[in-house]
Amino acid sequence: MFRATIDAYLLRDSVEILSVLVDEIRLRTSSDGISVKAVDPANVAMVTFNLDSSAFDDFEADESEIGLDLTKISDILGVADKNDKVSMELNENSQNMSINIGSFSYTLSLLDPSTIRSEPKIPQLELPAEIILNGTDLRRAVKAAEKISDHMLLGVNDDVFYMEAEGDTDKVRLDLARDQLIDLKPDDVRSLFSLDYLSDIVKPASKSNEVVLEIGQDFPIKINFEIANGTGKVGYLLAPRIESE
Amino acid sequence: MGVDIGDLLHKKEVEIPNLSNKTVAIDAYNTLYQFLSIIRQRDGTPLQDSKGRTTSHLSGILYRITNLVEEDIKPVFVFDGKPPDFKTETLEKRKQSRENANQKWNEAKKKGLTEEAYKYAQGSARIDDQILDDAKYLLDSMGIPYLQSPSEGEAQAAHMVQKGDADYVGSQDYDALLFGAPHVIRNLTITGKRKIPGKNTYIELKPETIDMEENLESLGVTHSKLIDIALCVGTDYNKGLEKIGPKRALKLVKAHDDIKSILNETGQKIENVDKIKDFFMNPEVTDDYQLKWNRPDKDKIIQFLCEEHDFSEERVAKACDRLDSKLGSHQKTLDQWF
Repeated sequence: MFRATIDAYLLRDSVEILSVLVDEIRLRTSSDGISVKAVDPANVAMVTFNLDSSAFDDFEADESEIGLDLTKISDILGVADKNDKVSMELNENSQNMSINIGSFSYTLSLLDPSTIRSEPKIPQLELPAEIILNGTDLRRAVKAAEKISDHMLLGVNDDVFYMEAEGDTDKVRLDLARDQLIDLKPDDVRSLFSLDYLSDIVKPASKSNEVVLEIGQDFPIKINFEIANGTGKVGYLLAPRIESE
Repeated sequence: MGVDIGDLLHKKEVEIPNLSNKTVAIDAYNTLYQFLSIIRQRDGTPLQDSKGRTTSHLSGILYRITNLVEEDIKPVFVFDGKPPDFKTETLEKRKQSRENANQKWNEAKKKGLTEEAYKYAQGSARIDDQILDDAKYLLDSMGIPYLQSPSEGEAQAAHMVQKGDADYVGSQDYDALLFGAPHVIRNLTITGKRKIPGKNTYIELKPETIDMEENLESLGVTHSKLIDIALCVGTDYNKGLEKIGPKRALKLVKAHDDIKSILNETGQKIENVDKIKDFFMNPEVTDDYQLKWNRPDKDKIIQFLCEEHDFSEERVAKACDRLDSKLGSHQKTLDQWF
């Protein structure tokens, strides 16, 4: 069983976080809250998402797995105002979910979870450098990079975290020293990432005051942040590109 | 080679562009035989380097597989492992017929009979360790994955399609169906104009797919009964029953409960029949493989094909560039960190 009420904007943010990588999810429910692990079809990036039951106004659930079409939910949320509440209830016998927003009531048909790509294993990575910064700074750097290239270098050198993009003719670089960051665990590392992915991931991250980046040498990057006043946790993992000679 | 049930099966011609992004588990031995027997000069001599070493298979792998990759088809080569012990007799016979063909080829060449020579030359094609090693080395340099099956390659390929790791088994034979392959594709590596053996005419070969479920349904048999049909007409592991072709075999199988009662009625014997049937139903396969297409190593390919085997550097370099434009993506995937 699954019955919950949540702020519309929080549900919308959650859908946005996941739909960066996938269209369909296996939503895990338990008495503690909800969680999703998903990997994009090209195996380049994955997301782990947890939302504690305390993020909801009302929450009651047992261990279960629900198959959801994110596009449909996002369409439904189109009618919601920022301050609306969304209440959801699973109708287990008919394999659908009732969703109520204000005076709207929807019946959303569910997907058979077994038809959705199974949850990825989470690789255990030791990433030497850790940077904590404001989400807005990250987003600004990515936006600047998008203008001139399709990939971007993220690295740490001598207590400075840098983001650099080089196009065919132009180059942009943002240096953030320790005092411009919230925290820095330095190590001499750098990895290159596709902006196709990075800009989509950074968009939801930019709403957070504290984004934690973990970087290695030509290794995947971890991008972690919290939502809903710390009751929700989001972790992205993005595979690097190979630097061409 | 292979089981002769093709006449019973419904095949669908398919256009190459419709295969884009499909993964094909290619029966490596079958495909290497195709290359070795087809890619030859007019008198039947295979392509050779200046030291007289055969290079037909290398040419086939480089150019034909590059063509597939260029169409966004993802090939993975599946090599045979240890054959089941009841295959020994078949393998021995094949060896004899190859030696026989080799002798006749030489005779025909001496007499200047080009047509005959070509025919016998094709029959003399053989795969040795050197050919296998060269093929694997080239595939690896090209960034094409390959794997070694514990037993028959077709069984492993069928398993990969069942698991959903591949979309088709690529083979000219129908044996993969006996091993339970849901989808088989033929003619993939030999598409284009093909000379009809013994005649001076050419036909256009297009890839064709065979859907197992569809065929079982239209034949009105189960997978197990399809194997019984194969046992009647003869497989790689047994001689067929006397005077029984595919159509009669189908009738027999439908009229009887199992292969045993067919044998009883016809008064014939198939050696190891239980073992063979069980082998088709539950072949030894492995889940220990990784399908990863890598960037081709142009220098390595050129060194191997041009310096060692006298290929034209200009043509090889072009093929490498075509390959690289598909497999040369700079984006890594997460799988390598699992």
